[in-house]
Amino acid sequence: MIGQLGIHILFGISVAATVMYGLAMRRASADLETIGRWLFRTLTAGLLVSAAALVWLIVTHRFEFTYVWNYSSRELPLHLLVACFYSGQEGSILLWTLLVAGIGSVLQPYARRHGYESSVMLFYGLILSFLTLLMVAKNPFAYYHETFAANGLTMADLPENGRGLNPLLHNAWITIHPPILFTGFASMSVSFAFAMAGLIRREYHRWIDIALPWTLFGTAVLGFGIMLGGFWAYETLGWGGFWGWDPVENSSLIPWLVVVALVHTMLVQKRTRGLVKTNMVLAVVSFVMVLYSTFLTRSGVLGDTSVHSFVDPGKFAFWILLIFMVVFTILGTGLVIARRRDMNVNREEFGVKTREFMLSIGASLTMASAVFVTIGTSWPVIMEVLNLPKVAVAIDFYNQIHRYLVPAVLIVNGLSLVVLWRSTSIDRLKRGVLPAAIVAVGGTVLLAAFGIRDLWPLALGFAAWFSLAINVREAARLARSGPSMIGAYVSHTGIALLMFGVICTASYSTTYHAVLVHGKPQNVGPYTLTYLGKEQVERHFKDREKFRYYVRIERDGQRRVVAPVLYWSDFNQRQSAFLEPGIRWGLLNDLYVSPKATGREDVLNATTIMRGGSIKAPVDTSLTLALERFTMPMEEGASVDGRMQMAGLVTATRNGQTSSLRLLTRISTTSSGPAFDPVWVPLPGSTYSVGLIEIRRNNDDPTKSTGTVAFYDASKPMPRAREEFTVEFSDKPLISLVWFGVIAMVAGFGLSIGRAVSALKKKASLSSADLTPAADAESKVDQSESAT
Amino acid sequence: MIRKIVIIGAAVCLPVIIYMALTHGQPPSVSFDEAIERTQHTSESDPAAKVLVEAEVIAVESASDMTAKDSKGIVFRVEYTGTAPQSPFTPGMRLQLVGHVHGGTPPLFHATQALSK
Repeated sequence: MIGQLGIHILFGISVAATVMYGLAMRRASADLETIGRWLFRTLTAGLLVSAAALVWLIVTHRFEFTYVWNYSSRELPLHLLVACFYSGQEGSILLWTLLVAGIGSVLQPYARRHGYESSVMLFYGLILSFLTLLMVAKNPFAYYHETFAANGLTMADLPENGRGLNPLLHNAWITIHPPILFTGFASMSVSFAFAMAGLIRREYHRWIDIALPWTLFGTAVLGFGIMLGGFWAYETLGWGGFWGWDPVENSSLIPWLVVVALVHTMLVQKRTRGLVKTNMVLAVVSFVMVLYSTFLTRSGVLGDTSVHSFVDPGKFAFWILLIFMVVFTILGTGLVIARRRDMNVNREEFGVKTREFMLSIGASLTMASAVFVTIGTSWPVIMEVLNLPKVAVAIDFYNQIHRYLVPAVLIVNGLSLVVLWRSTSIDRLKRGVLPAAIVAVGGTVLLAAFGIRDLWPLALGFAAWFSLAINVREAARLARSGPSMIGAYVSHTGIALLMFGVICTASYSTTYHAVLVHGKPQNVGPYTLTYLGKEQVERHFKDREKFRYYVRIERDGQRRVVAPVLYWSDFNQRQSAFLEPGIRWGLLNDLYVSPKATGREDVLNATTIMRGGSIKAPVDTSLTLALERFTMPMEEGASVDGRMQMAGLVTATRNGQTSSLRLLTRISTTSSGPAFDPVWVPLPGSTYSVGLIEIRRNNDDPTKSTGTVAFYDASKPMPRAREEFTVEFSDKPLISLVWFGVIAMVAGFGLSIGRAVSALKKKASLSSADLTPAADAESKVDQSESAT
Repeated sequence: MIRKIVIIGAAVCLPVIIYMALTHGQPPSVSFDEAIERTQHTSESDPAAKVLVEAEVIAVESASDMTAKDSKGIVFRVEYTGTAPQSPFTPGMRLQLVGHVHGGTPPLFHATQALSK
């Protein structure tokens, strides 16, 4: 009750803070601004208390709360219990709101120092008002008996345990990935709020300087969060890739692509005072895309078009999400349109051989990627609106588009660092481009020599070498001036490395399908794989029997053991298996063992017969077996040990002579379904015996039920079937470059943020501070121009 | 110049992209047998890709359960979990069912969308 009431109060406080900041801005009142500030601080503190309370309720197993019951259980270790906090919609909205408020509490004194407090916090407060309203609709403190009141539950009906966390989420990455991703999402609000403040105050240039460190921060954190998700998928889900163009992945990628474009166009505006309107529009779009992506993945409109599960949030939350997105779209575009004439202060054409031109083209290509991914992700919704089949576009749609876009972006990136601001001489252009082009041609020939023949990887390779050569050269040249100068080059180098990783894994990975028999070494490509046995883990979870399967990989005398995991769980009613790959990590290659199935060797010549059908006995083809029918359990009675019994009535025919066989089987129930224990019956005129080892009843049409019979030579000891483990084994060369590339990209952003912040601190020289990835002394820009 | 490049680029690329999305965003039209085959080729941990089966409703057991017959005359059970149809399903109605087959004995078609023909 207190929790639910508290969420309502927080919504009221956020509205009050927004109103106070709005009035403070309108009346230029320091007193109202102070009230707004305190209200904002109260809101942040309230959200912190709410989040702490929810974590405490989860950790102390208070299953009287629906959210706690729905996402946690007593068996979970502490780190997963804490992660349950944001595993459901209600908790993740609370986390997002908390992070927006947390960033706001750092932003507020920052904006104040720059004289932007009221105008920035007005929009920030409005964002928080919608988020807290969303929390009212998706309240994490709802009681279990209230949620299920329609089922006649009362306060006395307390569940003893919760439903538990989705087994797919049971790993350390859930404690890291979502908070980082949500921090990235939350920080997207900052550049939007500054852009809106700039529009209201008619300060079309100043906001760029102030918002740039925040925009860089948001880009770095969101990019890192996205790739952590990719790493998680690679390390845990077992399909062998790190990016699947799934709607949930795309919903984070789209705002990231927009904000990457924004960072570059902000740099252009800093130096040339151009692209004023473009930056306003991109700042609006980057935030609106966060909201649109949230709407797509949380409103339930994408339904079952993703491998991720979507929960229908209910009508109230659906409409809040929709209104949230529409309000900020109208607000942002409305303000841009209202000020459009004002912003035409410096309309000049960029020459082709200029950095501003290249950066603009690069930003356009990045935006094109964002638009195309948005179209692809929204496709099921568009189709449903048009009353056409609602399916997600195939992955190939995205791959085909990016075969052209990514090389183009890399080439433009290289060129943008060769050319100068304002103008570049042909000589300089040649001097800059030719060595990199030679490196790129040499590198591409090298790739071809290693066996790559397809045009796309070669084109991507050429572009990546070109970009890498220029970025490394420029970074080396500028490193003498201090590490903060080389942030952009480190980031771009990271992207080039990432692309090399993509080329190598896409072109050189080899995958084999293998059925490994327990203890028997098997050659799989150039490797020898041996299934060594299994070990049950996490026995405290009652919903599953989780096994780790040990597989030894050998090559050239070197041995490594990996331990993939495969199991079924009651969590999804055992409809599909949960699996985790076993990976041998390496700098030069990863060996990836993805489990597919478990079973036993067929040493008993098992054969299935349909009721009314017949088969040739696999151990003696002159013998025909016809299955007449199955007897019912009541006909057979229970076995001595109390098990249910059924029998298959079979007619055996050899050379026109027939005999009747009654194949009795004893049935027991196990967690993985019925288990059959046959009574072996000698086959007439043979040393073999036959037994009924499975009955598959067709409930709709019992005449189509089937039985599986097995045979063994009774003159010899019963053969023992060894366990089989089916795997997909892949050798993935240089996939480590993908991860190193991402780390370099984020590190580069970190250096750039440091540089942007220190430049801002030098207030006296603010107007001349150059935060761009440029080192050319040839062009100087007159920055005295003011738009206001 | 940038503006011209962006406008021309958008004018050229957007129709191409929409055409590509149309070709990549269509479920294959198959018979029920082929739908079963596609499910069998999906690994145990992945959901089967969606297909479109043209069918005629034979019997309606409830709002979410019906029996239908495909163009080859194969009769199969349908579990419908999509949005409420504009008009209720009735025997004789011809539908395009979008979804996938669930394994089991006998297999059933899990339709997430039903479009009237």
